[in-house]
Amino acid sequence: MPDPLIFAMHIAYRIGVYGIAALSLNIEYGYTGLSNFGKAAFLMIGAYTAAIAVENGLHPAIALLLSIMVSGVIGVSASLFALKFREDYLAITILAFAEIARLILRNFDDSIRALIRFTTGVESYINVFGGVHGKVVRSFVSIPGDYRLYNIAQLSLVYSLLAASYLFVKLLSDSPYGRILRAIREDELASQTLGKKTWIYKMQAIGLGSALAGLAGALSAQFEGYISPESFQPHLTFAIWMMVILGGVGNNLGSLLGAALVESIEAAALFVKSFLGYLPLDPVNIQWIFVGASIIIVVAFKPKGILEERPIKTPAVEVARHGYTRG
Amino acid sequence: MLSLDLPQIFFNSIITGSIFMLAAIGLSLSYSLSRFPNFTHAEYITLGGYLAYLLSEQLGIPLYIAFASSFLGSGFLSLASYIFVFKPLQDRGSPMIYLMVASIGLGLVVRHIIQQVWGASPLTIRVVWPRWTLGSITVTGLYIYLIAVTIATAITLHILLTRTIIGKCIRASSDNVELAFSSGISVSSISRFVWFIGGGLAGLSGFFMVAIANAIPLLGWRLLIPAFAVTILGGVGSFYGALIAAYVIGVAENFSVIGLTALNLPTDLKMMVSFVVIVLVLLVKPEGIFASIGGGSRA
Repeated sequence: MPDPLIFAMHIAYRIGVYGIAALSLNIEYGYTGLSNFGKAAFLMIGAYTAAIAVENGLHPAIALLLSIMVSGVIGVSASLFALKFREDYLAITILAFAEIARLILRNFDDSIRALIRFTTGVESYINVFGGVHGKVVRSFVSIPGDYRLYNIAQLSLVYSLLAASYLFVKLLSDSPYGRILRAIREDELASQTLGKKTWIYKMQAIGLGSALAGLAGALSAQFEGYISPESFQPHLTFAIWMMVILGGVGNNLGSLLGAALVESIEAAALFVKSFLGYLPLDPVNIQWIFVGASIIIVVAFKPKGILEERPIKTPAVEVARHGYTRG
Repeated sequence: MLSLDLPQIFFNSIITGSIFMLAAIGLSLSYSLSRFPNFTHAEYITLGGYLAYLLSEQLGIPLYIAFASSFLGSGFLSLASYIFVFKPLQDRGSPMIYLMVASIGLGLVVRHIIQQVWGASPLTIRVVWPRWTLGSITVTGLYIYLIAVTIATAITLHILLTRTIIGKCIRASSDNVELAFSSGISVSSISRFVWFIGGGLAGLSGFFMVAIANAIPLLGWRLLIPAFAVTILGGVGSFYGALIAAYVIGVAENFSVIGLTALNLPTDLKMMVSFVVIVLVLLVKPEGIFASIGGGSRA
């Protein structure tokens, strides 16, 4: 039987990681209205980048930076062609991209080995991504012996990065830049008539969102200690969407609340699995039936989510409304 | 080293293309009538496959009854998801992104119910099919069955779409929903009909996938990306476009398998064909390459 305190810490850690992931989707969908249905791929890119970086002896901080950069750059380059598409085409393309990325990671090592054998006839033992067997990821924090202290260190790491991400997204969304993103969401054509090159903003939103998703992926990988392509199924993308929509579209606190709620459902399923033993129903199935059904209910009856988007309180808005700033 | 057995490749392409066609027609038609890509469509395919397993393997009922039940079961699931989930959401004015999210959610519900009932491990139907060898290619009764069903479906849909009132209504609604509505066509009853037939055909593709290979909960999800490729290459809502696109992608996929095998690469990578098709078509001609086939009108 697992230690209940460790179990609670594990859930708290996941809430922190998925809080960052939900914030990243909130930039893309919540503020800019972009249907990124391939979030899992960007978490996966971050996770694998961090894994390979620490494996090659790089400092964890550099590994995190690399994850953010690689994921962001891939996000921007994927968006270069995908952003001209309508929202439904964008959704289909990014979803297909995520599936293909997973497929490539799963088959990369075998393919490279086969190609080397094919061209040079030499047997090689290249092992970059680990294929279906996945990769063991070394933890960023090492406190030997004391497992509880180790967990506290991990929690402080993720929550300080969550706080930084929250502050970043909050300042971004309240700034004039954030208002342009919202304008694109509300009416792209109108924003273009005001002289805004909307595709550049959309590209930046995907880039920032992917970079943050890469950070979440790296943090998750080093904590779980093991990643495989199967950890990044479309279920993960869907869970992040659920967090943003349930918590409140275009509300950063809402994204965090959504992450806490969705991860609590996951925790309940894990709890049932680890502490209650045999059940006639598989808790994982129950979890996804529940999550899938609840998003339909949320979309139908509370489409704005629990915490609704609020008007921005900045001097500029007040000047526009009253002609002066109070105080 | 690279030996091209063209008759065999051609035959395999017909098999793949036929399954893609059955899987994609409903997706394409419901996409244009209801104006959102329905990701639950994958689960109509999966359910059809598992119903085939349930009836023919678990209950020992003759295969043609299992065949009919795959069609009806998936058709009714599709109809129910339209009536009870997507239509009410559209009536509430949900944006397209919400409809897509809801369709993924509904898909998860259906997939995990299936996984709860039948488990996650692959299940096979043990039926011995007669076999013939024609030159270098081997043909089984199952393949003949699949090709016959596909031809019958294509001819029936062609007659339905061109010769009957309901078919003309479907084409009109697919072309322009508002215009069809203002001309007195009951778009919602047309939609219900299309969702039922489309779901049923997806169920048939699941039936054949399970008969050829095996039943897994991800059966439909694996066919969904090729089905989207067919939909987009053929033009959303175009029946004749989908018909041609299915076989084009079938041929492309089978040639990619030959290439991958020759290079000793994993054949799983054949899925990239569909992805490349989706991206290229959307970049070059988003309305679909074959959309104008069939007298210029979409159907």
